[in-house]
Formats: sequence, C-alpha cells, structure tokens
Amino acid sequence: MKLISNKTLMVLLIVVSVYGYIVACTHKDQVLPAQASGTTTYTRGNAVLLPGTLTAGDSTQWKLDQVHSSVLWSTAYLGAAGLLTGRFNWFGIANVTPAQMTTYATAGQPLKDTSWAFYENDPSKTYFNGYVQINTSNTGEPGRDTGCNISALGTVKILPGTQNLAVNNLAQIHTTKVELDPNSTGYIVTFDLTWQGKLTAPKTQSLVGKLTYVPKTNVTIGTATYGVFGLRLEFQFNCRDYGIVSTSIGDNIAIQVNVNFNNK
Amino acid sequence: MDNSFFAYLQLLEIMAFFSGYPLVYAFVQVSLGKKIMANNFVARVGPSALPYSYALVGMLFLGFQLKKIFAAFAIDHAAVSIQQPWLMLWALLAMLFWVPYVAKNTVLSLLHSLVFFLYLVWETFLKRNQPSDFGNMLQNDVHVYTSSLLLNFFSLCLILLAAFFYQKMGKRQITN
Repeated sequence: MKLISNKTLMVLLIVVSVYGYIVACTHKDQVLPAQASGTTTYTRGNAVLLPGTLTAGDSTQWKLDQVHSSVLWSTAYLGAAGLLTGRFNWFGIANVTPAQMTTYATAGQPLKDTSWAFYENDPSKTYFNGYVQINTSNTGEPGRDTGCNISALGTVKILPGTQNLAVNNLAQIHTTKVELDPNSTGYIVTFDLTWQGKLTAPKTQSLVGKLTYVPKTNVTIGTATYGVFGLRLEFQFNCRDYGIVSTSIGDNIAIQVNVNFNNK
Repeated sequence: MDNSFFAYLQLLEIMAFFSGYPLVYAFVQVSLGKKIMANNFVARVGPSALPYSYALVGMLFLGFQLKKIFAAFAIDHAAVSIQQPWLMLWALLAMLFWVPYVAKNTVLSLLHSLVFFLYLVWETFLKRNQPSDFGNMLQNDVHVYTSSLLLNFFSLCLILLAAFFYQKMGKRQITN
C-alpha cells in the first residue's frame, strides 16, 4: 500500500475512532451535583380513624378484625440455630384496668377493642393500648404450648370457654408518645410494656417500636363493600428483664403486631 | 451479534485482541514509512514487524481460548463454548503471519484485522439509533477497542525488542 493510501487510511481510522469515543461518552463518570435538599419529604394523608362505639353498620367506626390479625413473636433458638417462632391466639386493643384483670366466661373478646385512635398526619393524637393472653402462645406444638411454656412464662393453662386476663397471664402495651418517622412514611412509637413474667409483680419498662400504617381502602367481598386498613407494630424486648430463664432461647424477643380493621 | 449474550461476550473477546491493529498499522506505516534510514532500527524494521506482532496477538488469543477451555474443564464442551465459530476461525488465522512468506505482504494483516475493526464501525454508525442499552454497549465496545490498541502497540514493541536482540546476537556471532 502506498504512503498516500496509508495516510488516508490513518485519517479515516482516527476519524472513526474519535467519533466512536465521542458517541460512547455517556458522562456517567461525572460527579453529580449535590442534592438540592438534605432531607426527604414523606407525604402522608390526613386519615382519622377511630373506633367509636363499634356500632355495626356505621362506616365511620372502625372495628378490629381479630380473626385476620396476629401478634407474632420470634427469638433465637439455642443461640445458633434458626428462629423459634409463635403467635398469641388471643389479644385485644383495650386498656385492661386492675379491676378488669380477671377471668371471663366467654368464647369471644372479653373487652371491647376500643382503646385506640389513629391520626395519620397528627401522631400526637394517636394512641393505642393492647394486650395478649400469655397462655395462648402457640408454637404449633401443643405439648410445648400447654406444657413447659406455661411454667416457663409464669402463667397457667387455658381453661376452655374462659378468657383469662389475670395479672399473671397478661402482657400489655400503652403508648406514651407517637411521632412521625423522619426516615419513612411510618411512625416511631414509645410505649410501656407491662408483664409479670416470672417476677413476683408486673414490671413496666419503656420501649420504642416502629409503627406502619397500611392505608385504608375499599374492598368488595361478595355483595358487601366496606373499608379496611391495617397497622403494623414491630419492637423487641429482653425477656430476661421479666425473669424468664432459659438456656434454649435467646434474650431478645422480637414482636410483630399486625392488626386489621374494617368499618362493617 | 445474535441474541446470545455469550456470543456477544465472545465477540468482545475477539475485538479486544484484533480491532486495534488497523490504527497501529496505519500509524506505523505513516510515521515510519518515509524514514528509510539505515541507522534507524525502528524505522527500518517497524513496518515489516507489523505482521509478526499481529501473529503474536493471534497466538495470545489462542492461549486465552485454551486457558478458558482448560480452566473450565470443558474440553468435551469446547464446541458448545465456541459461540462465534467463523469469526474465531478467522481470528486464529492471524497466526499464519508467523510464516515469513505470508508476513512479507504486510497489507494482508491489515485486511485481516479490518474485519474486526469494521464490526466496530458497524456498531458505531449503523446501530447508532438503537434504543435501550445501546449507549452502554457502545461505551463498552470503546473500552475494548482502547484495550486492543494498547495490546497491539505493546505486541509490536515486544516484536521490535526481540528483533533488536536477535540482530545484536547475529552481529556478535559474525564478529566472533
């Protein structure tokens, strides 16, 4: 190939190469400009959801859908194996006063689930008081649930047809402060956990959990249309603080409360 | 490129070895082609060393492919692992430039490597308006092209170095 041809070839190759480099430049290595604002703004609605008097058919009054709700617990098993998990079969959203801490001969909820209020955009007005019956802990193993778990948790066995809200069978939470979570659309909840456990008297300690609101929506089941919404509370506590002694479960107990409401 | 991701990867491998050669070839021919000076070793040997450097790249490519096949214990599946058989065969033909008779005609090495370079051109010009991930693919092609330029340049340097020492040793033997 003659020299002039080589020159032409080189010019062509250089032009094509440079063009390729220019076209391929995506500016991805450029440093992005700083974020305009250091904080992320979360938009919340202004739903106000209240229990009222639980009048059936009043769509402004929201009722706990207990059969579609759950209180779940989990803890490390033997420190190294997988999680040991379970749920409480009976729970409610009521403030159980000392006078009400007794047994109830009923197959349903012993107290009305009305001790709560939820203001989506004004958490200072939001509150809830809830309880679980400790002896209804259900790990799926009846031998354990009605056996060693009963004595280990300092309670008594279930009496059929009876709801036991006695002090030794009751764990309660009472919110003391609900705030907007700056890092999510949820809420930071400060509350008191009261439980006797294996102690001689109930013990109260302040804990912090995270509350998530599942916005209300309308559903149609069959011919009925009604509203639903959900709340999820997650927190952890140290069971040793309540006198629970065990070499097979961890100190930390994680609790997840999933409660669903409807306005039927 | 067909629809196979692995075929595309193999194409990139081939481009990484061979697509940079035409520019190195043109650069050497233009910059050294006029300098017919008996005392300038690089100017004298450079253009004729081009096919050998190309053959060296071809040999490195063969080594790379063999390493892949042996490392994956995939000898039985070698045929399956070759996604671009014709292009790979064409690439391995580069080793023919070790044969002095073939290497004598330096322009043949250019023509051989233009196949790979033209693929780049095709990607750049003809697929310019393709949507989706085309920008990222093109950027990757250009990275591969840059690597190829460097590989072919260093390959030429290595051949020139070898030729230089070979010449020195030859002279020493004559004087002895």
